[in-house]
Amino acid sequence: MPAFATDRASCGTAWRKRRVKPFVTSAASAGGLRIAAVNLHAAEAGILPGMPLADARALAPGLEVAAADPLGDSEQLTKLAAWCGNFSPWTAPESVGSGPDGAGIWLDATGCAHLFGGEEDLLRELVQRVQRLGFGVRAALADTAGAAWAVARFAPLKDGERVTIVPPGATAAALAPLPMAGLRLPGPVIEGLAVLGLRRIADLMTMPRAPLVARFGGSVTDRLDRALGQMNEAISPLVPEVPHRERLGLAEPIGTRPALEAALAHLLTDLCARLAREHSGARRLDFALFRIDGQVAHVRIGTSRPVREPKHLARLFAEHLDNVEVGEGIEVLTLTADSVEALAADQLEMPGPALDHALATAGVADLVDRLTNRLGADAVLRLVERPSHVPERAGVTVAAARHGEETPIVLPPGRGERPLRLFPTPFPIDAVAPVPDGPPVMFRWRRVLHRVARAEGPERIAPEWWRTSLSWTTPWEETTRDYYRVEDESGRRFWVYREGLYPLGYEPVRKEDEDEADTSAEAIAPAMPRWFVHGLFA
Amino acid sequence: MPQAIASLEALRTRIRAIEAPGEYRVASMGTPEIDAALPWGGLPRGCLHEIAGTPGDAGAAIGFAAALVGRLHAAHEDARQVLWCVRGDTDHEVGALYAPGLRSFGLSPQQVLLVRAATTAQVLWAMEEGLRAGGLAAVVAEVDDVDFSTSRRLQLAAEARGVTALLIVPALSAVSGAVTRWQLSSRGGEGEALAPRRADSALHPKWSVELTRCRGGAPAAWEVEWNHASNDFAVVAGVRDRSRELRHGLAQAAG
Repeated sequence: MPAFATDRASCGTAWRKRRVKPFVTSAASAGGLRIAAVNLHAAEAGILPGMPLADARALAPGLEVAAADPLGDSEQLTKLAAWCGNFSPWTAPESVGSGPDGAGIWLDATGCAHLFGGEEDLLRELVQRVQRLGFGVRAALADTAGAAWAVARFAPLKDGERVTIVPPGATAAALAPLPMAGLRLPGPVIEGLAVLGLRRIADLMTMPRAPLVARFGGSVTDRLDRALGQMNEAISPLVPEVPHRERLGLAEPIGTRPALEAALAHLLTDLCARLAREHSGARRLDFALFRIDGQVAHVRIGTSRPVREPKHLARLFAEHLDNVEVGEGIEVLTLTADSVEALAADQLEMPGPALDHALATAGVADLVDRLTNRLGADAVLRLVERPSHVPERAGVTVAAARHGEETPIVLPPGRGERPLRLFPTPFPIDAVAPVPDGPPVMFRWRRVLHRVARAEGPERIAPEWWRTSLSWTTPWEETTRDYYRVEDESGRRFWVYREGLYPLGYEPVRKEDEDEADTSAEAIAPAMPRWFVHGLFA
Repeated sequence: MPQAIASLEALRTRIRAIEAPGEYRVASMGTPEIDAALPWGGLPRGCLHEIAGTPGDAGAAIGFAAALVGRLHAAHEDARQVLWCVRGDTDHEVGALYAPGLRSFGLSPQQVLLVRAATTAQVLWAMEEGLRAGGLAAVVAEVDDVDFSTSRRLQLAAEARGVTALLIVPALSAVSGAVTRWQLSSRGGEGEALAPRRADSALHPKWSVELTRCRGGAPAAWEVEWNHASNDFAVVAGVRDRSRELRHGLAQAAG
């Protein structure tokens, strides 16, 4: 795409002027605004990237100017590369450059061409579609990435033909007449070669190598070798190659929900048949919908265990299909299993309790998936008990979808010693306890006064000293809790505790000498224990 | 005239069919008194039961629901899962379901699948999903309010797959699709005012249980105590003992 940046800035009907007139983007640099990228008309007027903006205005009086946005360009190129994923699973964006290099996208067409009726048809289709998105484009296919890069940019246009295919084995012949810039060399190196009279790639091919390496380092010969396929070149693709992927291309764009469901069912059937052959199941699936306007919508689901049942997976997707933005229609759909785990062939149990149990377990796993995909992983939980005396640690919840990582501990049936309900944070209450180490006789909780009819306790629970997370500076006496099971007069049962112990020799305040006691209490200022409600019994 | 009588007879038959208790498998409540009051001879499974607490006393309804699920487990003799659906923001109101406490009701925490949804609508959706999925022993949901059509839907879903549904509501509404409806409130126990700590708590859950509606049966009321050790109910007083309330009312009037 020789004018990617300016094409991007002139997309849309509002910017028609930018497409028919000289148009440049400018960026601030030392010495004022300079041209960053030019469109075709500006290039014809003789405007070059790097030129001061004032000079450009002198060359083309009606010049359209916009601020350069390299970040936006780079983002758009990545999006476009992702969109090209409907031609080949292996795509990668090039870095956005300015000047004659423009911007480019790598595609590995190996094994994809037959889907489009041959290499040439694939390229024509690609070029046509990218042009429709508003980008001027040329495409080349060659044995090596370097040769394709050079041919796409520097091969002369024959009769406006935008597609060039270098036949296998003809790489050297195709490269020979191209200028030195086709080797992706830095500007100073190209200038240096030009000084020596080496302007075409053909000039390099016949040169002895040692002087070249001595003068320019290894880069020149390396680039040449890569372009000719004598040296390997690694390009990292945008999407890592995934083996479990199904693609569905459509003749007419679709947008309705039943059509999407039918397409999904088709893809799921193919994918699950393949998973069954490989004795595996999907844990994570990505349903990508390629829209005709160049956007890609994704629907992702996860399961709590490997699954390869089309029906179950379709149900999980069904929750999210309503939220998909279909835009003007969807033409290509792909379904990818990002995460695949081994899943042995289903073995049916003999009819009986074992079969019932197996079916129930499978049904619950399906249910967990459905609930989790709709409500979120932190909304569907399993209760887990841990061996700890501290109430908050003894009973916790973990996400059901992640369950199975820890083995549950088996404990004897309870005998009513723990409440059915526990508050996440204990509520402070005002309690009156006549005996320092005794239960409260009354307490006020949520503005209601509860008179204690019966109490059981205390059960002393001290912090776990082996846990370093607890502050060592807090004295043991202050963090120790005495729990009581209390029942108020109306029969409601609470789990209350006193945090800390009453200081030694503490006398409970009597009504008659309250004033006196107040002053003395302030004088000594002992840390008075506090009362909390921690849970509710049934 | 005979035609009118015939149509009247037909109408009566239809009403009898509607009022019939229906065929359900049952789980014994563990006490002959309550089992006998239910036309099925026990708690019917695979249908909707509605349990209401009294304001400020949600614990009794939740405890009764846990006890019923425990009875289902005892009767079913398998470890099928229980789905318990609550609204996540009620944790600070009534507390979060606590695993060690569940064991006192004959339930293993591993059998409980907890859903903490954001809205009441989501709670009801999760409940219906659970009922339609099958493979569960019971589905319990705590909601603020439920209308007739929703409860009817839940009843049909429960019947379709034979999963018992328990709906905990703050107060019973005028009409409901539930097969049985229960009104719960806490009752104080007898015994010494201050007892030392014991592993086997003497503070047994004690409730006044009122069966306010029962398809094909008559309303009834009991005062029951849940026994943690044997995982069953014991009826303390068959008819509701009102003397205590009366005493309390008199004392209040005097004071």
